[in-house]
Amino acid sequence: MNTPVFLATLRQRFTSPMRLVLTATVFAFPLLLLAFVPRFGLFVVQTGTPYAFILGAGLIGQETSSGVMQLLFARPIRRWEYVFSRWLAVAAAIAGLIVAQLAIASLILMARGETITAREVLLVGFTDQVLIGVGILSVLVFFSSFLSGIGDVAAIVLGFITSQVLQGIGQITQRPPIARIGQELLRFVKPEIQTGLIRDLGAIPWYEVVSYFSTVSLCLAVAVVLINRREISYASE
Amino acid sequence: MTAIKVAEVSKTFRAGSVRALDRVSLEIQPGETFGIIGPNGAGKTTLLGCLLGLLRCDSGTITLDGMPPDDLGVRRQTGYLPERLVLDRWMTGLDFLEYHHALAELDPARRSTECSEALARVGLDPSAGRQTIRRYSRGMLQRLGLAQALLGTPRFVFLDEPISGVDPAGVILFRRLLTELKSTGATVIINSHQLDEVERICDRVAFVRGGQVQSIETVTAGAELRRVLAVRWSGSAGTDQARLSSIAAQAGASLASLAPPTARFSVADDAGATRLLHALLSAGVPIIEAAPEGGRLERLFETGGDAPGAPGGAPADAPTAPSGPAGGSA
Repeated sequence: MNTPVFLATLRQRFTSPMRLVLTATVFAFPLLLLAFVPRFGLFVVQTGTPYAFILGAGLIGQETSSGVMQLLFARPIRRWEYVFSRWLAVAAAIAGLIVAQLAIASLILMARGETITAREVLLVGFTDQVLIGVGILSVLVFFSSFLSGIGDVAAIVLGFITSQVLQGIGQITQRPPIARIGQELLRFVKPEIQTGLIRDLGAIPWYEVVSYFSTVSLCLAVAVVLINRREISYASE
Repeated sequence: MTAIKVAEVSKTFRAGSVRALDRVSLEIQPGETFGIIGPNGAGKTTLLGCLLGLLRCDSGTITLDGMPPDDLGVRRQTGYLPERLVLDRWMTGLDFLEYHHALAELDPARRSTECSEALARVGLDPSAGRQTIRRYSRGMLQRLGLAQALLGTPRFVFLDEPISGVDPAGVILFRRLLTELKSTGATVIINSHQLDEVERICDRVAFVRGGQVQSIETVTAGAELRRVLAVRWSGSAGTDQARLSSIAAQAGASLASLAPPTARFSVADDAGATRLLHALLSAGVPIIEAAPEGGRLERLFETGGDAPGAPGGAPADAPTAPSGPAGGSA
């Protein structure tokens, strides 16, 4: 990992006023719900996905379109370090925000006199949301390595819509292969592990686990390869 | 040992349909200040991109101190100022320098001191260092970019249009910084359209056109560049060679050639030209026209790379002799 890039990414992501406002909203809204609506529980902390989009959008693509990469890669930095450090910085930010949010949410619930277990907080809250956040972040990094600006967000939204349409067509036309393609596409654009299965059945959903980690590692590996191959000079435009 | 060696480098874009560099070969010696000039689209920026390892050559080799340009060891010793200077706008000037100081793997213990010194070196005061880069003017950006390029006393410095958008004070500062840089033994490569500046500061200059090095000129080799001022007068009374030479000498200039009613004088700079004209007018020479002649590189540019005074131009790797004070073709 490259520490200057890691730290600069964190600072960059939390310097943008738009990102700050959105992050603060996503952070505060579930906590306000918990505080003022008694029927809501820990499940309202579903913030892994929004954090990934807010903090991870254009992680590489915006750097490409702004033109700062040219100066950066003239420095002694390996490109895989650059990709990995930026990904890790946002992943750490997502995890940190979710931990802080869950800590406050737990305090609110305890103040309401409810009992919450560490298992519930860890599985439902932390693991689920961090895995979803980091999964989507990895897909964003993949798209961001070849789409400029925030084209990565558009690509994921398009992938999500396409997956829903394919699943719908598969069900309506009674063609399971089409529905399956839709499911797999969804698994790619929104990698997640249903920890509910672990909680309810005590069984590890191996297919989901393998699918999740292979998607995340594949996305990062392809992003590194694409960034490594990229020629960075305005002469190439 | 040659500092930078470019051997038969070719580079194409768009699946080979655009040939940006065509078998370019050149050698740059350690401590040399080397200019690259040529018309737009000649391949200058592509050459710089290849030298920095940001672009991959289709064929040929480039080595810096015997290593490929993308070697991390080379990059630790490289400073680069791009033409399209896009900096991290959300950072302050000082943050930006500290970031690049860290990226360049320079001593963290000296980070704060060296970055503050770098700001001061390019004439930016501490308050400018605390401003976010998005509030910088074009000239300030260029100075900040130069400061980051010079961090850590690099051995290879690549400057792409370094004085573009810089005010006259900035140009003077740039010349001073370059003199300091040369004293450290750094090898400097400058890509610029400012021919007079290139001529003033470079030891040798390559003229690139159509992706090929048309010629390499040895220019001033660090000597002060003098300009030529052509002066025309009416009549011929009192304009003999001895008198004009005497007047010119008093004004710190020299008579380069005389073909009445025109004389060509060699002057140190614009102020020298003003002094000469004042002296001539005071001596009663009825001047009707005075015009500076283009520099040697300007004439090289106009002739499309054929070395001035050397019909047919020089071979790409055969430097021509340095010119005299009058610019070489007098």
